[in-house]
Amino acid sequence: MKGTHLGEFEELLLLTLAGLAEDEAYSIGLVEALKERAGRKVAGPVVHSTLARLEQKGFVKSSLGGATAERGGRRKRLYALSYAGYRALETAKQQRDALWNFVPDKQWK
Amino acid sequence: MEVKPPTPPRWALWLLRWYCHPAWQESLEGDLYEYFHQRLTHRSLRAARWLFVWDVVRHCRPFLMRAPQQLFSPNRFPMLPNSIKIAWRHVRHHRVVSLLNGLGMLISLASALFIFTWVRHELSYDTFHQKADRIYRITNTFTSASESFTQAISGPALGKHLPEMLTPVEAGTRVVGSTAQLQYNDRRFFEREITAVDPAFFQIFDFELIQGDTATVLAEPQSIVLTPELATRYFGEEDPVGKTVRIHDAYDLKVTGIVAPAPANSQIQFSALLPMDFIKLAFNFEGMDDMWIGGMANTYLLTDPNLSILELEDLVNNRVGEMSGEQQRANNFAYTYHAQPLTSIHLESNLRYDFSTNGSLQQVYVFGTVGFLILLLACINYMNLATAYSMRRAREVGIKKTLGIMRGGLLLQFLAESALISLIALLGALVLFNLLLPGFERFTMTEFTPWGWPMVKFGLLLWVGMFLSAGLYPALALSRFKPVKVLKGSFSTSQEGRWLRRGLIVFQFTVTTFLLVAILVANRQLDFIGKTDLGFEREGVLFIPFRGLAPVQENYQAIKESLEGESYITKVAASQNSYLVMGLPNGITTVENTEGEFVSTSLYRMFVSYDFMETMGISLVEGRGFSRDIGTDTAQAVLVNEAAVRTFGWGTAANALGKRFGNADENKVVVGVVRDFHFESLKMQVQPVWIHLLQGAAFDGIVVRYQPEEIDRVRRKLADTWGALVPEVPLDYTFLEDDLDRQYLAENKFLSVFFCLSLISALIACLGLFGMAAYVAQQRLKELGIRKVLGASLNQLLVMLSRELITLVIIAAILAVPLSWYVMKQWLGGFAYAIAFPWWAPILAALLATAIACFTVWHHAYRAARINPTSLLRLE
Repeated sequence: MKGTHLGEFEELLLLTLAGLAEDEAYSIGLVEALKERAGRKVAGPVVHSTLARLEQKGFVKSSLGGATAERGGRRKRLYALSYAGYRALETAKQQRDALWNFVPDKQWK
Repeated sequence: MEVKPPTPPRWALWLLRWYCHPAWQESLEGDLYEYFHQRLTHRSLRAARWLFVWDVVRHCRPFLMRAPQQLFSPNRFPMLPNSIKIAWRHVRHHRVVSLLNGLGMLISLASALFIFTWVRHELSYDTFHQKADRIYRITNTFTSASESFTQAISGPALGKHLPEMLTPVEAGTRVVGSTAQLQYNDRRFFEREITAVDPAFFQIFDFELIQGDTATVLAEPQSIVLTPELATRYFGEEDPVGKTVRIHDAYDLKVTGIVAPAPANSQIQFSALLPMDFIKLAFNFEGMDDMWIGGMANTYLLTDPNLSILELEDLVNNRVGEMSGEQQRANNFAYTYHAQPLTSIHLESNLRYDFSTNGSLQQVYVFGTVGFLILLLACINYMNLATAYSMRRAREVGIKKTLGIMRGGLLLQFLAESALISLIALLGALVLFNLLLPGFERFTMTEFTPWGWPMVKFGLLLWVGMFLSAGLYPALALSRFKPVKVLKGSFSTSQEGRWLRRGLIVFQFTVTTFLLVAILVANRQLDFIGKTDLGFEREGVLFIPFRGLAPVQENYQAIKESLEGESYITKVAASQNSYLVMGLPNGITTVENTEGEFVSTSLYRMFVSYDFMETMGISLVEGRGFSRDIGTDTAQAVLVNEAAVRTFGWGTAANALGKRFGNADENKVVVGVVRDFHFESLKMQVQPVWIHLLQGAAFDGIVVRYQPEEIDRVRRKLADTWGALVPEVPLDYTFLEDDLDRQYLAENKFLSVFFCLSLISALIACLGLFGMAAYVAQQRLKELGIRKVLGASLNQLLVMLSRELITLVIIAAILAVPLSWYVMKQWLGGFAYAIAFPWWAPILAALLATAIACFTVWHHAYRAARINPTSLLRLE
């Protein structure tokens, strides 16, 4: 395991997950939220495999629940941020803030 | 009515389940369903279904995929010794059934090995020539006003000049086989297969020269190339090259080389090779190389690889047309030429004057099919017995399943069992094959080279095919058992696969009955041929083919008088090329038709001495025979057969008398008509023939009629006369009856092999039935006991036990009747002289099959029915 390093998309996904309601926090909910809030179109399989990777790294936990008729009676795999995930997001934000502070405001402001 | 909700394609779902890790499967499926339903709101069902498939494919990612090794138990080998032990116990417990199975497999595999060896040999003919794909034999069809036939041999000019005239033809050779007397010092024998060829022979074919140079060995007309066998016969330990042998007591030939004998699978066989130029010299045949029409030599051409067979035929027809067209038109007949690819000749060519060793594609198919059927019968036995006895193993399966064996493991175990049995059977079959091979070689008069890679491959194929087809169904059936049912004891296999077993038994006996009918009919037909009136008396005739050697010709009268002086020798006559069994030569002439016009025709021709017809026992229908008292007979009298009367449209035999034959130099008149006599196989109709008196002393064979019971004295007298009058010529004679039998040798051999194979298939089918009968009897032992106690008679019990199996056999027999009728009708159609289809044959075969089946089944039924009921019921 590579430790706490987060990829760009992993970070985005984790952050979106953090904001979602409990029964929306599954692959399709994530795809829709990413499109709506971050303006990012992603494919289902990408979200699936990224979530699987994040679970392996211990940043998210998953459980089954919330079957609907629309899903042919099959349950969803619901994801929730783990503490380690929360810490990873925090670390990432701090890194970025620190670097932003380091940028002198000259040209584009 | 309720509308069915739209669903994604099932197969895509199945695909998803197949690859997806079980932990992910449910949620992933749900997601895909959700996408599917979302799409349905703004797309067609069709599109949505296809996009679902696409989604399934897209989601096939490493993270989501199942790890294959987790599904099966990682190591099956620890169970192996146990499996083998259990299999062995099972085999021992059911000794009889296992033996039947193994024996059936062994016999069928051995038959398959023999058939494979033979078929491979037949198919391999002439493939050893490297240029085989561009060697063709030129054959021709002769057509005149009265007849048309196709012959294997062509005019000698074709092989000589076509290679020079046609650029795409690289080389050509003529091949003419004959028999000749060779002599070196005091060693003097008649040799068969002395073959005349052209120098390009070695360029076209890959026959191997042991000594000598391929370019020069046949350059001189008076040269000869010997096989090692002949070299040893004449020269012993000496080196033959450079020495001379004398041929026909007339010419000295210099031995220029030694050639390896032709492989057994070569259509061209030889004991020695001579140049064609020697034939020209020896027969004083100056015009030979410019004779375009007629038939004399097998003509082989080696062509450019880019030349197609049709182009070759066009080229040959055009060129021969240019060279001999006028001659053909003047005589009002025509030759059309065809090309046969070298490798197709052995199996597909059956022309006039073709190689007598040619095989037939039909036989290859027949034996191939029968071999396959026999294998199938043995597989069916295994299947039937294994599923019937599966009850015994149900408990084993139940316990193993409870202890956690997967179905795959069970499948593998049962398959391994059948693999083991078939492997043992295959090894046994190989041993048997090896033991019987020398006998088989003697019988077929061929040497086989069965061992090698193809045999290994075929053996593996047989093994795998056998154990899969025999073992797969039982393995599937056995591994399907539900452990709960089996262990609770509420389980019976007697219903499972019962219809399949019944169907297979019917199939086995249909095949058996069919083969029985085939044997009966074929046997009758060949018997009929053996007894058919051939138009001459076959008993008590012998033939001395002395090959026209001068001492015999000069002493003919003395020989004849000496032999006829004995009371037991009735008649002696001479002939040229005209022994009835070897076929006759034919030639071209013109003949007068009913309107008195002369038309061209090609006729079989015989040259015989006075008394020949009497000696052979050919009777006269009309007119008179040759007479010593009428001087003009020698030059002008001609006899014809009844077939000629029919062919030339003369109407009646009486009408034929006085009809004239003849080109410019011949002016012949029909003086008599003889009965039709067969000089070819009975597969052919009798052809027209005309018969002349011998001109001068040009005869090469003597025919002797004697009283059959005096054969020993005849032999002694012959040897004495020969020794006294012509000691320098080897005495060599054959009996007409033997020669006739030899004509049908191929058919007779075919029949005996077929007979053996049919017996084998009947045996295998019976082995299976025997096992099934044992099973039925065992299953119903308790029932038998109760019935017996209640007073059932032995007969009732027998009927009860055997009814089902016997019914199946009868159904099979009935099914076989129309099938065999149809097939054998076709076979008989191949004979010009055939028996009517014997209606009793299918009935007899059906009865026979049923009788065999009854006998087999009753053995067990009787034993079971005779058991003392107390021993069966005491245990309750």
